[in-house]
Amino acid sequence: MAALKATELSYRYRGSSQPAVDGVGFSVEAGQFAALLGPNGAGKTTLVHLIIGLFAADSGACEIFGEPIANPEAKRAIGFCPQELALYSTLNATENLKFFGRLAGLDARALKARTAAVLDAVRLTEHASVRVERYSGGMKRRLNLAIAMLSEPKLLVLDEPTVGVDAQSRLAIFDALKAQNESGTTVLYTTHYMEEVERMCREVVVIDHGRVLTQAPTSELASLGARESLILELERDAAAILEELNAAGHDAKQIGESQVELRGVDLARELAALDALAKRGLVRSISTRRPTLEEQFLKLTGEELRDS
Amino acid sequence: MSFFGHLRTLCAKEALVLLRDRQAVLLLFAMPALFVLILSLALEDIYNEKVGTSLPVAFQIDDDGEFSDRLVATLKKRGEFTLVETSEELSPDALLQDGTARAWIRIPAGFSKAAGDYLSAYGREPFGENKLEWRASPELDAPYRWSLRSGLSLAMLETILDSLVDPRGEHPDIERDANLFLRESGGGSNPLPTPLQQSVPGWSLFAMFFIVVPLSASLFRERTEGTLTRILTYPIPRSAVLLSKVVPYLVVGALQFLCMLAVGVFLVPLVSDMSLELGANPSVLIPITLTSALAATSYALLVASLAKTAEQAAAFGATSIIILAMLGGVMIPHFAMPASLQQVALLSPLYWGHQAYLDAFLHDASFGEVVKPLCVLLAFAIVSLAIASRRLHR
Repeated sequence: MAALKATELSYRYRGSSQPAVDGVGFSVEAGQFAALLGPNGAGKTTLVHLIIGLFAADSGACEIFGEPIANPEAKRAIGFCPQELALYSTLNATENLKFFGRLAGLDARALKARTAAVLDAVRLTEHASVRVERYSGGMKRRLNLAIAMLSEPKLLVLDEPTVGVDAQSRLAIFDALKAQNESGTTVLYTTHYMEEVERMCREVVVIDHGRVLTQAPTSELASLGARESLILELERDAAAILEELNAAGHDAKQIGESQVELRGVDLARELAALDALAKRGLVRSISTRRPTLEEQFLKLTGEELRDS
Repeated sequence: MSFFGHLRTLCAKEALVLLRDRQAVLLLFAMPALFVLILSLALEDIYNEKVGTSLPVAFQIDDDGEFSDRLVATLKKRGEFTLVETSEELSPDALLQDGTARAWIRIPAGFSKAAGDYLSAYGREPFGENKLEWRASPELDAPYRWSLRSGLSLAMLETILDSLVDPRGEHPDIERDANLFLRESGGGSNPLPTPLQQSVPGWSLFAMFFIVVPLSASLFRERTEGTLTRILTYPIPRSAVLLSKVVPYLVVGALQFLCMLAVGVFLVPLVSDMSLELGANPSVLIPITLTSALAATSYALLVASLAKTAEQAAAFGATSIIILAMLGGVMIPHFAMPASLQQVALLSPLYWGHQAYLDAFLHDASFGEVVKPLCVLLAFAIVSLAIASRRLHR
């Protein structure tokens, strides 16, 4: 069953000529740990706001476990962790959790039990009665996540939950999320950190300019449509050879003093070039390298800056 | 959870956040309470003069003639003056300077004889050198100086007429007889508020409207820090979210008025002779207070929804409240304003709230008699809330 199903979702901000989300369709199966990736301004946060029902779509539909997002049941199934530290800084962790827990409809007994459980999950139990204004950035991020997990949601939607935290807090967040996912919660995770995606997510949805570019398992995305590249260890300085290769129309890049990477474009031509270099005694060794997720992401979305 | 369950949760959070903000609590309660205390005491003298209390006058009578006796008796009979006993060692300047008296009158020796001589040779001889001498404190304002002068002239006229029409030794009451010729039409004079009646509702309203500062700051924090976004992801009605910003501040407004009332009723009488008269229908203060607090909260939400930054909201909010308070008669009493400014005052919601309170205090107004200002405040609140709601829901 799909935990989340978006169909032709579109949304345009008032006064804008371009839609921020333009006919987006994708689904995430129940129990999945999926990443939503996109450069700045790609429409990720707008899409997340449509998914959680904060914005009403201009067209299209979004269903959470088969319920339209406008239904209270669909909203109740979601736990949302916003990009901002959405906490009341003059209240302590318990007071923050109790407030949001009551809004989520938890009764007193459930609220007490869940408060203790999520504080333990994000390792904040001993700081529960300390005002949030005295917390470190990492502690605030963990509490931000704890609030999202409080009502035992079936779908966790996380908008860059690890921004600006130290390695220890990040690890604690990963542990909490992993445990949550293993207990059956579906997770939709947006981030700019590719290593987090490779480490945590089993599926990736890439969006740009308000549209879905691709959706694939994380392990397959890195090699999707891209062959492994050839790494040439040369007998002499790589600069002259690099110039020669690029002049011949290859996509070559110097990656060390005597190393050149020949990116996979046309295998026949690359083998011919390799053969010519070997005959001249210039090649010491040959190896291959799989493209990284980040490289594949940049290939999909382009390398130009997204400042506007 | 029901609508009211959500509302209760949201209101409890709002109250807790407000109570944790000590600066806001001080701003909303201590500041106006201090204003009531200090300004009531400071304005006591000015108000007393304005409402026409008897002026303390030092008399130095060096003449023992019959005309002088009659003049002094007539002056004492008049309401404008209170005879102040003076030490002969004190000069007129010293008397006026130390505040013992606001004016000084001296009847020189030979005054009765000079007056008798002048009246018997009426128009043929000048009065002579033994004239009655008077001096007012330099701080006495022009209307009061005029009142002193006209009071003296009237007393003198009465004494002269008394001497002229008294061939049988009878003393007719000239002032009483003169009043037989006069009749005042209309509703008579409008009673003026005491300093406490002016200050307590005035600064209560000021404090209620000053919630624009903490409320707009709180709303901006919620918008920029994402807590409002987070709240809106839960299945709760948006109207409950908006109402949760109104209800706690209605209670705060009522508490602010109670606090100012306590200062006026209990604290100020401890340090002065003033006491706060609430009028014959004090229960009417409840709807006045609640409607005023609603208008204040709605205005705060309007400012918060129109501003682009928290700083902008706080600066504009605070400045606008000071201007509306000045126009509304909080800082400068409405009766002391020129007629043109009194018309401009109608634009300030604080004016309508203040007038409703003054109607209750001074005219024993019932609920029906304060409906008009309350309707104006209610309309102001509805329009402000409608605009704020529309902008905040974008």
